[in-house]
Amino acid sequence: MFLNPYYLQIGSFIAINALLGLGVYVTLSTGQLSLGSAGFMGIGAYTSAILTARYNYSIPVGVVFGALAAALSGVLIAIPSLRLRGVYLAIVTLGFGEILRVAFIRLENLTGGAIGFPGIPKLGGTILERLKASSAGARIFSSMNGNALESLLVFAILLCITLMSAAFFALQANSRVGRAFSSIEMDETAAESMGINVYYYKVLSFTQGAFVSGLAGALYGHVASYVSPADFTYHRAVEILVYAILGGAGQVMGPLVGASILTTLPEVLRFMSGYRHVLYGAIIVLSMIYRPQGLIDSETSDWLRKVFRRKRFIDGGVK
Amino acid sequence: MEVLKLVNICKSFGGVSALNGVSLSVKKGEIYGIIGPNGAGKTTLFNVATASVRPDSGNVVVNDEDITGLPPHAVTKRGMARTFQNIRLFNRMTLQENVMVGMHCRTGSGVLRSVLRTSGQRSEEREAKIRAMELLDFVGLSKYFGKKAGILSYGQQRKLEIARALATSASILLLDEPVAGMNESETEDVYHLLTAIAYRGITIVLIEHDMGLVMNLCGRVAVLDFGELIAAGTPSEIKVHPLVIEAYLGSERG
Repeated sequence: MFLNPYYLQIGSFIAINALLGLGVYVTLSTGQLSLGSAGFMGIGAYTSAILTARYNYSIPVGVVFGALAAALSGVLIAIPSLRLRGVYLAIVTLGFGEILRVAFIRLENLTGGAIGFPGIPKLGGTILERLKASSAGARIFSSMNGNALESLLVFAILLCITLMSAAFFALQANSRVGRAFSSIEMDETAAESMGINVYYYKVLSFTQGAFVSGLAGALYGHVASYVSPADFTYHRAVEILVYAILGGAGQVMGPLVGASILTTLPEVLRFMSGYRHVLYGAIIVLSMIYRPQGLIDSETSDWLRKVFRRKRFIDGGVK
Repeated sequence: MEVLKLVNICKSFGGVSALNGVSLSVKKGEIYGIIGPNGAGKTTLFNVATASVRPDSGNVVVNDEDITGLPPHAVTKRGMARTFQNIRLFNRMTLQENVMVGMHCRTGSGVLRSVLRTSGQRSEEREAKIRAMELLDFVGLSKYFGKKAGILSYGQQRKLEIARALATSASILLLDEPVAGMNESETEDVYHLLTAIAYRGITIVLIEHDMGLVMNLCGRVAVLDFGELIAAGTPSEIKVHPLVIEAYLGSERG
């Protein structure tokens, strides 16, 4: 069952969406509400697609440069617009996303325009070929279903990247940098007067968010093998925001949980066919009414940590 | 030696003059009081001194360096920290974390070192925690170190703000109404706390309406009224200064 490509693909999309949610989380951790994640995602996706499909660079190179390109545009957006706060910043980033979407349509030579960009090298396929090329790999993998194996590999890689990013942000949150971030989120004036370069840290967190969104976008391109401007609309940006908010934007765990639930939900609700999006929306509304801070807040995350610690302790004791 | 000099500070907000040519200088180690009726420009003077408000003209000199035009965080790094009239703590952080934020400009771990948890980062973090506990102990709040700052009483929050400002290793402390809204015993606590801080060689400038505290604690006092410095001197000189009496009580003719 675990090798069912359908489940594995959902797992892969959960990982990508969780990564996107983390991008919102880190931007919000300095109190900045950005709706630019779909735009950054697009920059990452197209950069990597162009580098790999047109110029034959390897996928890792494409993905890294995709993320870096998104981060760079993040800095460029951040520098003029971070004087704005709250809903004003949200509107500017929203406009930025729309500009990019139109640019993706217009720059036909680069992006393929509204028709989209097909034939992006697939993440799993490339690795599988390499593995089969080696004699040991051929012996092990020849017996297995190639399609399932490919999906499994893709899922494993995406899961690794997402968990590593989550670990990165968790470690950062509990450090000098993380304290600077949350002090800015709570009171910018006080943070500045405590010797924190508020501007620097706001640009830093915005850029980190752009980087992670670009990373997710690049990976998405190599999983779907086709991207079009329709994948990076305003609607997508809001969806990404909801992953983080519903899961709990104050904790690293939040976007992971939010993305998992909201990516699985439409699949689980498939039996309702046309009505599933109604229920999907209703579930979001209800959970926001009864848990406005998100499913995971600082208390639940402390509790989870405690449970995890105790379990580890017992494991150690048995040995 | 003068550690803080304000030279001819002018600042107006939309045509209303908040500060009009105010000059004063504070000597190392002294406790300097700033008093004056509400709206006299005392807090604006603090905002100018700590660079959160840029003066229209005039200069701020800290430890012989002209800091006019620097961003506020750079001023903190140069050894001057403040508290706020309307307490501005990080309410959802613990007491210890609040104080550790104050140490930001004296520590150096960036993103990479923080995420890789290098040995340098870990020892820096450990030392910061210990120093935060010392400072909490100094202001009498160490037993609440793991609690969120938001749960503290008003008086305790003011003390935590002082601890956080001390954590910046400031040599000059600007306190904006440190005993506002406190009862007598809390005020006495703060009196002893400020004496202990001054004893450590830290210069204190304070805005205060509690005349008892100002007269007992301050070596020198400046009086502001309608954005102008109307008098400066020792508490006993200030008490009998005709302009000060007029500012507080109104003139006989008025």
